[in-house]
Amino acid sequence: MALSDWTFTPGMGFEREFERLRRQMDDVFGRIGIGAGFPALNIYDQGEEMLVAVQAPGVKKEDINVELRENTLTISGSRKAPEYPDAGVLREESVYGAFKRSVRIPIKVRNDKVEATLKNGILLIRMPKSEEAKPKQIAINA
Amino acid sequence: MATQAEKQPRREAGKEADGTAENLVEMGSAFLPDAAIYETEDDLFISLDIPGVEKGAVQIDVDESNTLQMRARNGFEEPTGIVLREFSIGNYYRSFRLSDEFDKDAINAKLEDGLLELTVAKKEEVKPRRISINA
Repeated sequence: MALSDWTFTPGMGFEREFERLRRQMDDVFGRIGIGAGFPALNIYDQGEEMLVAVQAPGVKKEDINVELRENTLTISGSRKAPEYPDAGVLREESVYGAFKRSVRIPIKVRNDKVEATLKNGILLIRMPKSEEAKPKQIAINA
Repeated sequence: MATQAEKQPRREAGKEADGTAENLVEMGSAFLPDAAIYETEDDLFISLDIPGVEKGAVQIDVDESNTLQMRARNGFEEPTGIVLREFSIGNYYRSFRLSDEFDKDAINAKLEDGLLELTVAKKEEVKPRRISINA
């Protein structure tokens, strides 16, 4: 299982960092024979909460599992291939079968308050931050 | 989440609901969605991955040159504060050239969980016929 990590290092160039991670993941997924980086995910920091959006077209709610253990979020499940009896395959770009992705969230979140919804093939996971991880305004004293 | 199967004739796909498919023709740049295509003796099945698209935001047309065009408006509103991006959010467009053996008036579309499934029937005259042998 590939465990990706991400950082907020300012001035580091997030895209470049991401590319490096992507290559690492592709490498690992490639070796264990799983389609690289499926399903694709985005992570958002909304101040009060962290959001993870996962593209999972054609995946049923009952076929997805979301688990948060310590600070590692794992999304697993399977996407069924379409079933057309006696059909020949002309083209298959979509990824089918079992998937599993883990991402470490380097911010303390309220594990008991995590919510996930699936709408139109996009899974959205909301993770409210724990109090100490929320941004704080620091008053400047004279 | 949508669970109900929806079958509708060609050109109606974009016309239901609240008309969000209006002006999809002029929507500018769009992403090319992943597709899977299967064929049987009677039909062609095209499935397209269009996560974020609501029912009613898809438009399917077949023009005079038998080109099937699919346009879909992505209704997913991107949250602010991106810190890791593996996918971008945008509308979808894809086209397929159909050969003459397909009946462009016999296309069905179904959208569920961000997956669009099109069924294109072959014309009656090209379907294989089983001839029963009489004694």
